[in-house]
Amino acid sequence: MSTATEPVACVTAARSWSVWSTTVEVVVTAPETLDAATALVRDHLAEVDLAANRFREDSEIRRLPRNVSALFARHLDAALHAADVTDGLIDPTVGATLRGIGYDQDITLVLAGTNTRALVHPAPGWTRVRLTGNSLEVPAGVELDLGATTKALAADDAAELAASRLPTGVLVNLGGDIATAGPVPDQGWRIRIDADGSAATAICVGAGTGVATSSTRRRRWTNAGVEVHHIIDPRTGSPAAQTWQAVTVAARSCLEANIASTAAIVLGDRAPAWLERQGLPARLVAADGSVRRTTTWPAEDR
Amino acid sequence: MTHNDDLSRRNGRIQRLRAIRRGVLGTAVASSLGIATLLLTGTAHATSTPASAGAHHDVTGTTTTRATGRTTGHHTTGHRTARHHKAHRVAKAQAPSTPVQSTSTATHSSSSGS
Repeated sequence: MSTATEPVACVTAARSWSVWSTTVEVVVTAPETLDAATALVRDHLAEVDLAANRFREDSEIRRLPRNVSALFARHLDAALHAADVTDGLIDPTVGATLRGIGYDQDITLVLAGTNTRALVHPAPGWTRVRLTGNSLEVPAGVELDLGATTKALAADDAAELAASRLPTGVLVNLGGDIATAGPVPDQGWRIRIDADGSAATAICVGAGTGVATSSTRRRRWTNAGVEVHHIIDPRTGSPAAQTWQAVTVAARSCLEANIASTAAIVLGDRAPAWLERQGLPARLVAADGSVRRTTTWPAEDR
Repeated sequence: MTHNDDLSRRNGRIQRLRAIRRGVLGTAVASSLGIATLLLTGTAHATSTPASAGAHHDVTGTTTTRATGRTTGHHTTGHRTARHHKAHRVAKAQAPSTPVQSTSTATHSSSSGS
């Protein structure tokens, strides 16, 4: 078990594979633990998949039982938390909204198909969902989608799980949602920010930091002749305006970072001031490729 | 304690915190004093009360409650007051405990968006 978070001189080891049409990467500071860490992360992601993958008919999010598992409750709770702290800029009741614009199956299948629907449904509203312990109440007709928070929370939990069971520091990257736990490498966790449309940069973060990038350039498809993307503005039911191609945020957890980066996309022009008020290090790439940074994001080498 | 036990324990704590934020617990207290009506429906609307209006975050993200005994006059139907909204903006996320720095050496991973 790793409890210390002091930097450790080490050679890291990494492994990657595909899940949810994206890449999972596990990096450990103790190379001999890579196999065990990989197994823990794989198992955890499989459990999350069964709980929260709306493209699986046997998942809890599709069945919505009255009494849900602790894991599903944790993920729904995170989604409701995200809605709560963003005043609904992120909303887990966008399931029908996403189906309406054609995101009704895994993104690889959406991209391969021809969608002809263009149904815009504003989200019914997260306050209609009631979760008390493991007891769930969802009004008829309300469909859930936890996509805005599940990857980030899964990364946090998987990293924490591996670092708590094994003598190693761990970084888990789920398609750009990065969580860290346990000891850090001697120069910190060094992360390349490779947002579309801008020159890449790299940052160094300390123990327990989460980093997330939300992008309007990924998971795009054509629906009824119109190009759309997967980040929904719950207030309108349409994809968020593409003021920003990508927003990267660092915070004390991957979940917090991802909530902020996703909400920033939805906020559009107001995002830099909103991120600044929270003191969050953030990098925003505008539609024209220009970059804005909050004051706590480091200057970039030219 | 198993991983799932730990998740359950954390779920309970988080849900209690959100309940306080929503004013549900504060509303229940106020109701027992006969000064407000508790209305818990599927849309989560409860009559605003002095106690619920006193639920807030401090700048560290800790949730606390205050029973001020005062009416706020913000509204009478939604489950959060305008004051709640302002307070929530303070507690959205916390910056990393150590500063983010730039680096030019080899990286461990990359964040390219999703």
